[in-house]
Amino acid sequence: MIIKSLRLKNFRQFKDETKLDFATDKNKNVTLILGDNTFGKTTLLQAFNWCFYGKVLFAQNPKMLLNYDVSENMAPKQRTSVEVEITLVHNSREYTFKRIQWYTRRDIGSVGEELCPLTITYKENGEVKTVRGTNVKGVVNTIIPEDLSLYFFFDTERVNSISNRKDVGTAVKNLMGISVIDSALDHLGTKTKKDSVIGKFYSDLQQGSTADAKKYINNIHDFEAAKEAIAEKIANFKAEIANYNTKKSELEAKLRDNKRTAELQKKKEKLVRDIKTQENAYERNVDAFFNQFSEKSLKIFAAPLIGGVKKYLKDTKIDEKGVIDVTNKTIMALIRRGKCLCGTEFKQSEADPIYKHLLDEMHYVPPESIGSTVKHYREKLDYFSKGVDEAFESLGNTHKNALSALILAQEWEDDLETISKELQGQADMGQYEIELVKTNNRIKELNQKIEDLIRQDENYNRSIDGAKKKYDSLVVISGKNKEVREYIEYAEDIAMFLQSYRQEKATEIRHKLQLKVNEIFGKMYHGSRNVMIDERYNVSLSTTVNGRTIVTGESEGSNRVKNFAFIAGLVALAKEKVLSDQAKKGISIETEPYPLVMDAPFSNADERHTQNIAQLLPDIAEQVIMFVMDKDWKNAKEKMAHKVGRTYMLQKHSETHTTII
Amino acid sequence: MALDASKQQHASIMLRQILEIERNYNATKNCTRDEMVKRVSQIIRNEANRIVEGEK
Repeated sequence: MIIKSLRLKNFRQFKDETKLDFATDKNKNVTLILGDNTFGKTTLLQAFNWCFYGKVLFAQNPKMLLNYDVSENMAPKQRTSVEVEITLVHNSREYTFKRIQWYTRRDIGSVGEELCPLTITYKENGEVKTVRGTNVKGVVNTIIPEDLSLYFFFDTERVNSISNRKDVGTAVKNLMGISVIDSALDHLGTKTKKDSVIGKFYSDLQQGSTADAKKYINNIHDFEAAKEAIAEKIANFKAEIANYNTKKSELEAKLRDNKRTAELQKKKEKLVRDIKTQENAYERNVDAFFNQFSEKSLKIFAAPLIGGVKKYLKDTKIDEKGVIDVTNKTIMALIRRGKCLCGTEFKQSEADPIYKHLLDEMHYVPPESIGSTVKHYREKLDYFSKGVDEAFESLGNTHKNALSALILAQEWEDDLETISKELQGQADMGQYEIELVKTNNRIKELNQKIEDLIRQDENYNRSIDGAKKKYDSLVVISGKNKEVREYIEYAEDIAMFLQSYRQEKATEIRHKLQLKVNEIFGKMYHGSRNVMIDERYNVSLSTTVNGRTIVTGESEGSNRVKNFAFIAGLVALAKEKVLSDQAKKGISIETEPYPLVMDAPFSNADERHTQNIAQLLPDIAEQVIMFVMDKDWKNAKEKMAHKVGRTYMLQKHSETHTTII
Repeated sequence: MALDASKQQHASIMLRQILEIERNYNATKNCTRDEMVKRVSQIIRNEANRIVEGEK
């Protein structure tokens, strides 16, 4: 990784826009930024931290990044920004990291800050692309892991802020290229990890076996045998139909040749049926006649007498002589009184006409009541005589029908006799016709059977097609599975290799790093101490006493050198491409060389140590960006000046305003 | 399973291609994990098929 430039806007004392382009020449890879205490050296270092990780280590008012002068001159509700933009090249790809913090002047005078997300853009094939928001942190940690930020942006005077308890193992391994292997292993996955390459390959394997294929072949053979049997049956049926067709033709010819006979035979048969029908009708009517006669004979025979009685009663009109509501007792009472209702007196003597008349009247009033009796009698006569006419008519009709049926039957008997005479000696065409019908039915039946067999044959065809497809698919599956199994073979081999390679390299990295760190430490520290790196990649100092290695206490000076040696060792190792190993499958895990950004690297170092560091830094790191005081630079200059590609001077105008020249 | 010697060379080609896209993925995270799984699968398929085609 090479940092190309740093652009600041209103970041703390760096008012307005400030831009630094860093030395990128491999032979002059040092960028020197000179400035005395409080000129803004640490602020520049923190600008890197803030841009990459959104964190700063300012002791005073760390949230207020906005330049004080700018802040003071903001009008109410005015909005202004603090920006830090870093352009770097990583893996031959140019990235721009940009973090913006907006501040707004409130009415009451203070300024409020808003969220300050980082955006990362990179150039690819001449096109500028933006890293998706959710992936920004991942990309930062891949390029410049936050866990190692205190080493990369090394503040010599604040070296104690590096915690020895933090596990930086992952960050170190990632820096060494292990993250690429981890990522590949994650994607390759395993058989049971369904969302991985290997897991998906296993899912692609389709079930199916040779036994299944054999089963389908057997099925096909069975179906074909059944088809042959069907074909044989159809052939037999067709032969049978041909025979029947011959017979049918013969019968039809006979019937055609004896058409007159056939017609007469049909007529005869019809006459026989019709005569039988008429005979039945005659018998039914005769039975009906006798039944009707039994039921209604009395009425029929009494009809003339009843007619005479009715006529007599009609003529006599007896029923009209009585006086309404006058009874025998009434007349008797009048006789005893000797006085009529009209007041006429009379005597009970045959000679008295009134008396005689009253006696006569007694015949026409109740209880004698002849009129009423006649009336009832006449009603009964009416009832009795009712239906006589219908009975006559019904008997007549029945008789007529019986006679008609008898006559018809006799007439047809005559016809039948005539036809029978004509048909004497002729063949029975009816039998031929019956045989023809039977033959036709048999042909129809056989054709139906053939159709059924054809349908069965079609079903077998479909079954054969299905079985063939299944068989073919199993053959394809077998081929396809072979293909997929080969993919799996490759994928599992690669995954297995990467796993063992990763394990091997992880151990190797720690070992090589320890050697490298001790080599650098030895050049800067004159004593019998060594640097130890544990599994968490924490560093500590040790010494050997009576053959035993013991961890020693650390002064601020030794702590500074130890941590410096660690980061220097790390960037040196990265530069050496420790993971490149052409012997192993030609694998090349390109580790990226890293820069060192250091604040006051020579602080509190004596002249000799300063010169050691000055000589060491440009060689071990791909790029060195350092913020140095003039007095320290004087000691380093001799060893380092020829490596300096760019020099900047910090110029302090006030406590709130520094510029860079 | 271990590949026979003739296949080791092809596995190396696949591995190099895989590491190349993994490096790119790590540096930009410009696609999803699923897409990466597909890309890695494709590298293996393509190379394996290329070998088969070559053998024909």
